[in-house]
Amino acid sequence: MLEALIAGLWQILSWPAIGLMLIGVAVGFAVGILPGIGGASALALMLPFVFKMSPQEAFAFLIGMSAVVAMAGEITSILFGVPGEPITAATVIDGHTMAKQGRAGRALGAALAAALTGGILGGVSLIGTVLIIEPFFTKFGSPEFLMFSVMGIAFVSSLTGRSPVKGFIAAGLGLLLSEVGQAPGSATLRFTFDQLLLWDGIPIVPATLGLFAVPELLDMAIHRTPIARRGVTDISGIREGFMDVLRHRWLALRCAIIGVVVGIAPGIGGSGAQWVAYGHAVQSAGDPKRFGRGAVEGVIAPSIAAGAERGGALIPTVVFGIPGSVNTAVLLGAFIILGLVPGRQMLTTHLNVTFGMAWTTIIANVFTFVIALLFARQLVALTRVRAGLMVPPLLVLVFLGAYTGRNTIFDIVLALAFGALGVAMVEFGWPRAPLILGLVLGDKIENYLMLSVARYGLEFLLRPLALVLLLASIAVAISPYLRPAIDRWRARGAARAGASA
Amino acid sequence: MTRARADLIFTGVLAAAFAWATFEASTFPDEAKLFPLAVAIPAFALVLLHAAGALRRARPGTAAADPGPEDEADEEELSPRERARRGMGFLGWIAAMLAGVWLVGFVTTCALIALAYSRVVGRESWRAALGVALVSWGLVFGVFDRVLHVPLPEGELLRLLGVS
Repeated sequence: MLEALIAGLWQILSWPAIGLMLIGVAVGFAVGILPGIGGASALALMLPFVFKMSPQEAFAFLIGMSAVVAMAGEITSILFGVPGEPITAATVIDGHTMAKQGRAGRALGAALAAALTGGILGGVSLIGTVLIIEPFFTKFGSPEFLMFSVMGIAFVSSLTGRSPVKGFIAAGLGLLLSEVGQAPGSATLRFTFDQLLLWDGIPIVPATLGLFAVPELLDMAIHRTPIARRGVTDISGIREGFMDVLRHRWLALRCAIIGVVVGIAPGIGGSGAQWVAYGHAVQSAGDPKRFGRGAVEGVIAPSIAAGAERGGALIPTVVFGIPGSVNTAVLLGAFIILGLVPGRQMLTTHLNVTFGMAWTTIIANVFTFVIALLFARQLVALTRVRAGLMVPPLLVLVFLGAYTGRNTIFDIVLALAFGALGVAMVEFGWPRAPLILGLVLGDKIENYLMLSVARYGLEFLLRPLALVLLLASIAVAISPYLRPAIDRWRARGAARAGASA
Repeated sequence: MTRARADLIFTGVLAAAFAWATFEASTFPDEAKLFPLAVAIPAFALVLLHAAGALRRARPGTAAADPGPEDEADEEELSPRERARRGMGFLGWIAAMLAGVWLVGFVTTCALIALAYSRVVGRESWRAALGVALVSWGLVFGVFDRVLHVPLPEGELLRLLGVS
């Protein structure tokens, strides 16, 4: 096994694999920075180029590209409030707020360090778990995956801000919007208004761009000030951002585990992982009110989860041929092109290729980190550019980002409609995060629910792992409301003890 | 209009949306209506609960609505009228861009809107405005059209005129 590990590293570091990985990293960096061009689309576009490559070269190129998209997307999310990728939307909430407060350097440093750590831990998890997960994974069925998604939605309770009712209504709206399109397992069309383009549901990219980027653009257009309103954007804050990750190392580790686990669970993907991690950060914070106002933990948690999710998603793809996300579904195409069969072969004959994938995930993230640091000064300086010069290119990016997913103007209109909703929600103090979480997880919950009921009836609730996950979801959902009561009870106990002493 | 009253109107819109969704979902076959109804009915009840609170706050003499987690203090102290005027102006630019993309395509519209916005709203110099227009054009034509081969719409007007 050690031999395969070293062979995998050696093959990735040898020519031309390393060169191809660098090309992949460069493409992934551009794709991550530009909103709308998703990692999956870029992978699909690059797939024809791998026909004449060896498996090591092909995966160095493709995984190099896929692994860095999250880290690059964090840059756009933080600096411009425009999610570079749907998997980096959660970073907008606190990261862009920090940029507006003149702390772009610190936010960027925290996001880059967190994404790097997440990427490395994701790669390590692929190395570490690929051989031991097989027996466990066979215990997972649709009820367990359903409960994973339910647990994700339970984190809404942490994302509701000061008004839980508003948060739950927003989540309800997200869940309802996820129902748009063809019902699972039937030909019934729901809430489609006879629009062919709604048959597949509401695409996540225009929805995310509209909800998060349009209100930021409107805000910039109204105030006519640079993104960094306070004027001071200190590049030295980047180092402080690195230190923040160390300071919050346990949160970082927990969120990396969340990223890997969500990555392993098919269908939830990075979009869910970042919000679950963000919700966990809010829930575990001493003062949750800081979130949404520039809390650095709100940058670290989603960044590390999105980075780690990539490595986690590779595990079921390699071991079982079950893609954990759209990205890995496209990667599965590369397996077929290269004549590789996911499963036992990847753990025996081609173990070096599997380890090569893990090494690529790690090395590509290190490369991207270095590239981002080299250009950090210039990137941070962008937050001081006058609004008159900044608004037009950002508006162009929003339009292009919304359009490129399905190449239709309808999606631009959809993004603008979500933009109007986002503006109203910001204006009236409604949290947007629960809506996106509902939209991302809603169809997964319904799909897995239908499968579970069809396969097991209501007895699916009695499967041990599903039951444990259900109880954990209930605990996650109610803990923010129990916590003040527990704190009060503790304070009363302490006061009583003090009085008796 | 006060903020609390505007929030009440927004709540009313949400209530109408959930009520409509409940009604619409009830017409679906059994399997297809289960999940939408399970979401829409409790959400509708929660909206009514929130509306009752919002109604109380919207009454004259009561405290303003909770500003919520994402709201920030307006650092520049713009008057509400000026905020509304600038906001409506920006909506006009968005509408113009959408119409432009549909009529004459992405490449021309993005460059023209960038030039016009920087000059008119940003009051930038011709040099800076042309620079922004060039960056926007380069982004659309260079990156998305040439490098990524995204099939950008050519524009209905240009198609009708036979220019594209």
